[in-house]
This record gives sequence, structure tokens and C-alpha cells, in this order.
Amino acid sequence: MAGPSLKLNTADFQLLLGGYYLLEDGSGRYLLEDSSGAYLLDAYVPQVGDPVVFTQPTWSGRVVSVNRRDIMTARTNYDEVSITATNTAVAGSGSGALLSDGGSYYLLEDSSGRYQLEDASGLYLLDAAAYRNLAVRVSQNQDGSTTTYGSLETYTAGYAAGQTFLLVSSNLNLSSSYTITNVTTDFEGANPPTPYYTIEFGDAYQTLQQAGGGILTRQASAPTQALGVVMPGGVLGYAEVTADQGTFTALTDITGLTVTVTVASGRRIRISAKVACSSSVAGDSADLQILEGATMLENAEAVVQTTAITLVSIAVEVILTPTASIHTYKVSMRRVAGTGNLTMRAVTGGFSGPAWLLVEDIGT
Amino acid sequence: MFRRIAAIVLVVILAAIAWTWRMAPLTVSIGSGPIALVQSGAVVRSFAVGEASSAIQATLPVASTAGTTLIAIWGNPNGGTPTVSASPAGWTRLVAVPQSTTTDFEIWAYYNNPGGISLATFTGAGLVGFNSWRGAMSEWANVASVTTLETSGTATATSGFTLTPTTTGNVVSTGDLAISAWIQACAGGTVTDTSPAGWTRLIDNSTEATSSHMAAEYLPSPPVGSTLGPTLTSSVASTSAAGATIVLRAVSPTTDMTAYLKY
Repeated sequence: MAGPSLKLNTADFQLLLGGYYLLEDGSGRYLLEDSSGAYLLDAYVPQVGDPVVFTQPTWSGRVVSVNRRDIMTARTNYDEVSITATNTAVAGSGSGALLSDGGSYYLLEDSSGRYQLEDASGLYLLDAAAYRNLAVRVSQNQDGSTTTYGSLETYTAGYAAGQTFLLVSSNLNLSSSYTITNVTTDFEGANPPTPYYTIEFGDAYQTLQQAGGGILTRQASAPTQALGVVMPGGVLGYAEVTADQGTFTALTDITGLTVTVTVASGRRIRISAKVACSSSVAGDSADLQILEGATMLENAEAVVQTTAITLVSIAVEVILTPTASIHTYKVSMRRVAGTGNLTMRAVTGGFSGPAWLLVEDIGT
Repeated sequence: MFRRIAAIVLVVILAAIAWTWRMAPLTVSIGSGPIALVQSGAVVRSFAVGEASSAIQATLPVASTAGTTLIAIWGNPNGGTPTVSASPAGWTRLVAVPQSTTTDFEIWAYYNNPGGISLATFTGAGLVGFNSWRGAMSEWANVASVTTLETSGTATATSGFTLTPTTTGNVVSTGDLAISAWIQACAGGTVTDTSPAGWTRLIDNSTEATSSHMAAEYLPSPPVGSTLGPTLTSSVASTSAAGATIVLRAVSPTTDMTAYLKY
């Protein structure tokens, strides 16, 4: 790395920490009183999380990576520290100065020729910034669309991600406007270091899936992923109980069957539950409900037998598009007909199996 | 003639300024100033009837600034083994202090927050018939975002007018930030909170006629080399109380590292 490298959201740079105090006249090192050694410079070693501020160019962020390297085999008492810092700055807008390879001229409106100086001594030249190492790649994707990605280097400051600029290249026969996707500031030389800017422009750099035309799929048990197709978010919450509860007749919350979930904006969820029960009197009817607070969202009823005969499992589910927020769902049960007392059955090893409540994100 | 000379001088000065600016070298500094309170929100009550678990909220007057640290303080002294059962992404629980099954007091932090946060919605579990929480949020600049919690301590009580949550370890670094806070269940009504000497009130709900009182104090640059145990005082006796003191490290002071840049 030859000096700091600054981009819109990252800054990579190295520090060479350490060294010795020198005598004022530069004739040697400042020695300890007993001459057993020299005074060492004690520099601060940046820590992860430290704020970082650059000037010329302006950049600020926080340290996210610190890599210390012992370079004792090359120089004693020095510590090479490589640092990466990031920020969350967003690309702006506006226009950047014209970039030209210098071989272009103003043309007459009817394109019949070049625009000459009044005394015919020469031609009007485009007033533009110079660049080098221009490369423009146009590629066609599997879905038929084309993507343009280009880069160049310039010594002219003032370009920033989000700007549009006119690029003129007589060598490549280009005269088009592009949007800058990133500007990397690097330095060359050391006395003083001179910044140069690598400008990336055109379409955003493609992801692997985009390059594949959006038809790349994830294999095995995971669902197929396709560009533009909303995927389910999966399980948001699940609760299970393995102990019986009751007896009861009035509406009673099933202990442990409560789930609190965070639902994102515009998402559709499915809430499902399964609870088994029996009654002290065969032929009673039980009602299983899914509720949010005191609001019943869905219910299902079934005729219940006694434990001696058989258990009845009741399943209920509901599809919702709730508000983007935290929601708490629960399961309750009651007797709606008959004279017996209900018992919720979920004992491990029994005939019913566990009772459960499941909340899933199923898409939009 | 004079105008022409003045114009030439002006052009020369502007050119010199432009040249100086263009030739100004790259500089880099690491670190920032001392910890500072940016803003704090009032104590918010979140209450749910018949819910064992419900959304609890804390607010800031103005949306947070990216890079600062947010501190959320939660308390529930109403029984039912209360606890903060879920948080939004990015939040870290620094301390949780139960007083038996009656009271829960917790402090959470969001280091290096992305900005734009004026509302934090957590989930609080508690007594089904009276799941009532108090919450407050504050925003701090220049708090370290890695290995932030230097030390902490907790305390509980079932009687008395005071609570003294004392840190288990010494304050080590200069420029730290100490926050000490508590919640008490007491006879209903307003209370008068008294700040420990040298500390500054961060938030309280002393003027709220309630049996759940929360108060928080803060102390920038607490003395190093010893533990920290401020005594928090209320004018009304507690029937249950829980509180904590936390000490947060500051980022390093601003240091010009330009001379160390490697080219």
C-alpha cells in the first residue's frame, strides 16, 4: 500500500509507529543516562471504534479493523499498523467537470467541421480535465440487458460518487455522460504525496446473481431464490408445551403458548396452533382460539370425547398482514357446549403430543 | 492606476490562497473529544392489561446522530418476575438487576448507532394483570464502541429511602462516564429525588403521581483508582428497589497521526 486509500465508505491506511527521539542537531539518538539505550517514541495505537478524520480530502468514519505487524526483522522498534475505517456516507448528486483525453475539439452545430478560432490560427479545444488508464467494459447479461462499467485515473480533484460527468475519448471514440459510482483517492510520491483519483462509473458493479441474469438458485433444501421474487422470511416465533392444563370451562389462556414477534412492513404472516383436549363428559364441544390481546383472530371448534375414549386434537390457523411492529399472539381454549370440564392434553409420551403455536413470515 | 494595482494584488492573493489550499497536505487524526451528553428523553410509561409480554418504549426528543451511543434504562417494580425479554437489533444489555420476583431494572446500550433513532421499542414481560414498565433513553457522544463497559455494580432493597449501587471494580480510565440509576416501588404520589454530591440528574419521573419511580444520575470523568458507589435518595421509602451503576470508557483523545502515515 503506497499511502492512504480513501473511498466513499472505506478508508485503508497504514501507520508506521515507533522510532527514537533524535538530538536537536540530528546528530544521533537521544540516549538514556546510563547509555544503555535510546529514548523510544511512544505513539498511540488506534483501537477498533476510534473515530477517524481525514482532511484533504475530507473523510470521516470509525476504525473497524486494526492489523498490527511486527517488522523487527526489517527495522527494530517499529510497528506497522494497517487500519480500515468505514462510514455510512451516501452518494450525492450534481455534475463533475468534463474529462477528456485532450484530443477533442468543439464541433460546429451541423457537425460539418471543427469550431475555429476567429483568426483561423487554430481550433477551439475542449476545456477538460485529463485522465489516464481509461477502461470501459460493456457486458450482456443472461436476461438480455447490458451493463457498462468503466474506470479511469485523474489528478483532478472534485469528483464524487453520484455525480454525472461527460467523458470524451478520441482514442475510444467515446462522448457520453456517465454517473460516478465510486471515487478512490490514492497517493503517489512522498515529498509531498500527490493524490490521484480512480473514478469508477457506469452501472453499479454486478452481484453474482445479477450477472447470471437473476436465475441463479440455491440448491438442496433451501427454497429457490429468483430476482424480483419475494421470499418467505421463515419462522418468526414458536412455542411448545408438554404439560397438561386444567380443568377449565371458560376461556383460558394455554400457559406457555404465547409468542412475541417483530413483523416487518408489508409482510404476510401465518399463525397456526395445535392443541389436544379431553372432557369429563363425552360429547362436549371445545373452542380453540388464536388471539392478540383480547382480540380473537381465528378459532376452531370440535366435539370432544373423554380421555377414556380418545383425545381430540384441534388445529387452527390464520393469515394476517399486521402492522410493522412487535406483536404478541397467544392461544386460548374454552368449552362452548356441554356440561363437562375440559383438560388440555400435552403430556410428553401421551397420545396427544405437545401443544404448539407457530408464527411464520410467508411473504407479501 | 490604483484600481489596476489593487486588482493585480487581489488576483495574486486569490491565486496564493488557491495554491496553498491545493498544496495543503493530507492529515489524519484519530480519536475525539470528551464524553458529552447529547440529549435525553423523558421517562415513558408502557402499560399493558392482560398481557404477560408487551411492547415497551423509550424515546429521544430528536432523532439520534450516527456514531453516538444510546443508553436505554428500563424498570418494572410490579411483580410477576419482570424482565426485558427482547430488544431491537444493535442493543446490548449491560446490567440486569432483579429484586426477587418483584422488580427488574436494566440498562442497555446501542454503541455507534446508525442514526435516526428517536424511538426504541423493546419487549417487556411481567405480571399479566399489571405489566407496567418505565423506560428512558439518552444519547452520548464520544463513548468507546468496543469493550465499552469498564465496570458496573448493582443493588437492591426492600425498604429504606436510599440505594447505593457500587461498582465491583475500580474506575480505571480517565474521562469515563458513570451513570447510576434505579427504580423503586413505593407508596403512590410524587417524590423528591436527591442527587449524590457531584452528580447531575439525567432523568426522573418524580412529579408523576405513581408508585413506580425511576431516576438516573450521571458523572463525567469519575475519579480513577477506586470503586464508585453513589447513594441515590428518594423522599419516599421503597417497598422494592433495584438499581445499577455503570462506568463507560471514552474514545481516545484526538491525536494527530499524520506524521505516522506510511506512503
